[in-house]
Amino acid sequence: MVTPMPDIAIDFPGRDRDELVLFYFRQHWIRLLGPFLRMIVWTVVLAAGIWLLTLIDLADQTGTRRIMLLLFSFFFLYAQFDFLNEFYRHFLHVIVVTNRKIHRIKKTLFFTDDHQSINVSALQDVHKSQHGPVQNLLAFGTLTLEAQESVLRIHFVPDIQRKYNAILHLRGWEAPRANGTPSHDPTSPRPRDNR
Amino acid sequence: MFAFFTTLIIAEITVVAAEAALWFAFRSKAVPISFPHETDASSLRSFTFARLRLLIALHTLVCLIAVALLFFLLW
Repeated sequence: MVTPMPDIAIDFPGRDRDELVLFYFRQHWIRLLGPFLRMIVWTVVLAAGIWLLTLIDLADQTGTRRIMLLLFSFFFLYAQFDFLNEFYRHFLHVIVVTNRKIHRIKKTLFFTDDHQSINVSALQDVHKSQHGPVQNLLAFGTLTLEAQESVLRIHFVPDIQRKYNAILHLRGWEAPRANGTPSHDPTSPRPRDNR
Repeated sequence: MFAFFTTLIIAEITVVAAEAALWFAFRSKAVPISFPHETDASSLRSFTFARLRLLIALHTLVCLIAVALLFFLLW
């Protein structure tokens, strides 16, 4: 997982020229479950409403029926676009781990454009937290990266144990470089993790 | 009948416009790293850009059919 890619074709804003992308990830898919279920519930409720309307002749008058049509269309499309918005947001929230920094790029479609990064050499502590059976079963959780004056919390980290190990390994690997005595060349190929 | 088709077409155009607006907003915000790559360690790795585009096209089609169905049922 932490194989450096010297000729990597991917790029991201805020990347230094000598930074090598080791790996990157988005939040766990469970983050999309809530919006997905909400969309399904809305759709089922609307379908039931239409079925009731056609069954019991509640909307016998043309005017009432058309107002219902307008309302049903609006709420159906609202449910769809609300989910779509969350779905796009999932792809716009990326954590990038390079040999020098850990970047959190968090955007929304219209209103947010955040970029927070933390220097690997400045990392003082790394915490991993998984609470409850769902987080432990699906292997996701929160990583807390502490530096001298800042804390970076990364929620819904998928396969958290591997990421945690990789960051710990990176910190141990990076620490001697800060003193100018590199113990390991980050551009040299390292054994690839078979996952 | 004219009113029915006019309203239906306006509704369908609104759906396509909303889908397109969201898609282009996403395109303008997405960075190349938003999508699966060799170093991607996410839990949803199968969504390449082409697959995502296909999925959104399908979603638009489903929405168009659903709105047309609503019109035919309730007009």
